Amino acid sequence: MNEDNSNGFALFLGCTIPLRYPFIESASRKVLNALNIKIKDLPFGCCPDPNGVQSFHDDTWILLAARNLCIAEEENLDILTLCNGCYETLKVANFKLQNNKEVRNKINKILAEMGKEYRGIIRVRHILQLLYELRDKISNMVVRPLFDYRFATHYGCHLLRPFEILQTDNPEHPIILDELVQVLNGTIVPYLKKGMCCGAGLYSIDYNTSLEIIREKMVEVNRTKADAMVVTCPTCFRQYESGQFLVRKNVGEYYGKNGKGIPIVYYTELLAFALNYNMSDEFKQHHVKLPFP
Amino acid sequence: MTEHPKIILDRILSPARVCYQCSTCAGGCPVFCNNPEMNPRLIIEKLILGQVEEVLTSSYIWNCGFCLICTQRCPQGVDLAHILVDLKNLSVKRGNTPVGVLDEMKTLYLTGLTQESSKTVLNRRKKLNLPEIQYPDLSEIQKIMDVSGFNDLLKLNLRKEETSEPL
Ligand code: SF4
Ligand code: SF4
Repeated sequence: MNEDNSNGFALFLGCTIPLRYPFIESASRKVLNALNIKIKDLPFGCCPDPNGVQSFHDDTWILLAARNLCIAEEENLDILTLCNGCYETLKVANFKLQNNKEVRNKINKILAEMGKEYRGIIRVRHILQLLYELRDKISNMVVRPLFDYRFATHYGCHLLRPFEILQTDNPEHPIILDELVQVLNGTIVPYLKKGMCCGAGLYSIDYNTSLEIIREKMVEVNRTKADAMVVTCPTCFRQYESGQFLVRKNVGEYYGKNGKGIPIVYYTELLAFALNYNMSDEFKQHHVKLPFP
Repeated sequence: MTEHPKIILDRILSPARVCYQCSTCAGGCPVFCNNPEMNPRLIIEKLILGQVEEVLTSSYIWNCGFCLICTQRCPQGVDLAHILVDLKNLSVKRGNTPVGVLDEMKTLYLTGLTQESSKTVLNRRKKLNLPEIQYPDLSEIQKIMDVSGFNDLLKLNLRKEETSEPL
């Protein structure tokens, strides 16, 4: 285990970012490059999804997670995720496999058939944790401070829970994303229901309730007149970015300036902008125009 | 790797018995607040009272979005979110997986990923100068899913669906 990560990380993109929101990937690569963090791309499969796959068959869930962990272990690299779901799955599976010999033996028996063995030698991290550790460095690198903008932050469930294993931040009152926005000189707006789930787990099962859950949050964020909402997960991004228009269709509620929608932004996009990268190609792919020049 | 359903039920039930019905779980549940049919407290009560069959055959267990708020807040340490995962696993064994979940599982089996790639996005990737996607070794993933019993469960659930197409 290399504590300082001087060898870099295995970048775990997951399914949603590369195949739906490549601009999140692009911004994240820019940021990692600016911060001199080495990354390696590896042929990972789905993490897999902590909700759907675990609910369908939890044995397969941990097996596929173990396979991904093995791929990073073979390179002796810690995993860096950009998605809350990937983070939870891989970190929880890693924890279970490290601490439960019985489970590990069972899993390794099957992995042996494909010449793999889980050894338990790497860590799993979310990019937000890494950036939080580098916040002083980032603060010195800001070229375009976000003084004029007000942001509502949304952390997402799978970044914070299960707390006992993930240990990312205080799960009821998290601060790391807020501080990371403040490092860029952005202003954080407080709002009710900040800890509310995005409802993604329900989207394909109970569509209307999923939209109601989105709505609950959008109403509160809308009240703050924030310039944008900052997220750390592509699934939360999807729920709010396109979900607010599905809510509009369902109940006729309009959010954002002139009812044109509230811009949703992934944290590294904001950071890349502050570090003076030209983000126009990335920002063009958003439904709702971001407020930056 | 499959456990007998009875053993799983015991495993589910014993940690639930300490529940004292305070309803903290339901109060924080984003689903219950919008759709009271899905009531985590009531699910635990029914399990304790032995109404396991009713819970297991209900569709509302699938309405849990696995946000883990209930587990985090329960003063008695009842891990409701994972109790619900166990119940859903049992429901899958009876072929009762909701279509939305089943579609995702099918994509996972066929591609090793849960999102399908589209030309539009691949073009966008090119415009953004992103590297080629490194797709996983599908045969290895499918082998895992064959050995683990995932594929059999997938077939069972697809057969139960009228519109099922053979894999
Ligand atoms: S929070 Fe815990 S103790 Fe209270 S009703 Fe729910 S399961 Fe029971
Ligand atoms: S994990 Fe499920 S039951 Fe628990 S609070 Fe979240 S949606 Fe409700």
